[in-house]
Amino acid sequence: MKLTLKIWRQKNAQAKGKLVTYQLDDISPDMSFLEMLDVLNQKLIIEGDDPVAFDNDCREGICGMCSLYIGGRAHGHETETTVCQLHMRSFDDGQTVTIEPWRAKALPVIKDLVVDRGAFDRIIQAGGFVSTKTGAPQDANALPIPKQDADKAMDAAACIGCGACVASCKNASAMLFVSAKISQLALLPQGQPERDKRALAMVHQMDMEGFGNCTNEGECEAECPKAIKMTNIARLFREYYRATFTYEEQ
Amino acid sequence: MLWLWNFLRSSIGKKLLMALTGLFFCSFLLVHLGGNMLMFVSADAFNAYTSIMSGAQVNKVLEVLMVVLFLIHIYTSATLTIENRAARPVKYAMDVSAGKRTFMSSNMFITGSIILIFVVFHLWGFKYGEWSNDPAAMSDPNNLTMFGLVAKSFSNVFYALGYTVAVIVLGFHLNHAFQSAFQTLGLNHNKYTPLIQKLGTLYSIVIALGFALGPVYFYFSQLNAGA
Ligand code: SF4
Ligand code: FES
Repeated sequence: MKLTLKIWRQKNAQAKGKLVTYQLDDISPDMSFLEMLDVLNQKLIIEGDDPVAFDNDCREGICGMCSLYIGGRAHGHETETTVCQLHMRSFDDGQTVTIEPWRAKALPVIKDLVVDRGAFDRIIQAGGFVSTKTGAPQDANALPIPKQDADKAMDAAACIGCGACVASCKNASAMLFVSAKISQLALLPQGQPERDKRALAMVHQMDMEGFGNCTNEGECEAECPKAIKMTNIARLFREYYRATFTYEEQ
Repeated sequence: MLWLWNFLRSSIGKKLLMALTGLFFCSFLLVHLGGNMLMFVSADAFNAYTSIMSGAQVNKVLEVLMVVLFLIHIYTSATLTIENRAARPVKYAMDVSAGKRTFMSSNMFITGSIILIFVVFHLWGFKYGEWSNDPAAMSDPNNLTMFGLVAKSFSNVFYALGYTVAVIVLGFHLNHAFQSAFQTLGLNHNKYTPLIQKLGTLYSIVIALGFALGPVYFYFSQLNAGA
């Protein structure tokens, strides 16, 4: 396959970047999108150029590192697919493909296609966890959980923190991500002790990071590789209202 | 009460303010539309209704409340819109929508601004326009009743057309607003959300067509009368 790539190149966080055009001739349709970029980088290294920086880790669709805006869409045109699981066979021979980093004030570009997702980490640090004493595991089924709740919690827990929701939202809102992280714990008994405190702290941190506000247009839901639903955002609102009106700081 | 202030300044608190004030105006529009329908009953019925509405003391209180709610809706939307624009300082070179984003849903602030201009114009033209339903004034042949003022205003093609366009814009605004308000209230469930969405679309069509009926009717009836 032949490809024309237009890739965002930016030396560092302060530099002004621009789209640079590259030609590739020998791409196998069986390659993943990241492997195609590997081929490009090999070529650039041989030619003495700076290879394109892009995030990746597991390459099996579970870590959320591969974050590229491809052809105007987060993770490319396939639904429920991360970039590492996107294959060149779904592109046309001779196609021109634009590759940009996530664009959000809260997720600033560090270099080329790599953004700093520290904002997500700080939101999790604010309360996206349960505090438990470790020790021997308790008996199975000691905590009865309705199957529907377990399913909803597991669906929310599928979020890999990739940031595609922020990237595709016209307001760069992180509400889908935060709602998934709140929901996975709010639905389970283990999440109850810190439920209200968590909702207040995580939303506060989200606001501090400079994400936008949801306007209910569903771009996040459509682009999320893990099919996180906007019903979670409604749950996030309910959790936040509940916490606001019932939680008392000691 | 710091907690309440913090809540109202949070992203979700601001969204709630938008939703609650918005839903208030949704119910107000229904009442307003009901009143308008009296135009098609008779001139007297409509005049009697407008006299009561402009005369009753309780309505003065409601008017103040509405202005306050309207200002909250406008101020909050401006804040949210500024924050949302600031959240993406660098735009994409290429951006394709995959969700349910529409031109109208992405431009609520613009349709809202058009509605704001329209509302000012509307109040100035009718509520504070030159009319009197006072029996004493009736003997004056130049006096216009509310019905007369409405009929006269809409006999002008630009007036009638402007109103029709404005209420259609309002309809598009409401179509996205209605269902979004319920989402913001945290009411999203497979059981009833499809119903809310259908109701929202029906509601916005009824409002847009219902309010367009006045200008269209009066414009064409004076054309007939003239011919
Ligand atoms: S909600 Fe979906 S799109 Fe957003 S971070 Fe989680 S997995 Fe990625
Ligand atoms: S590299 Fe881990 S999800 Fe793509």
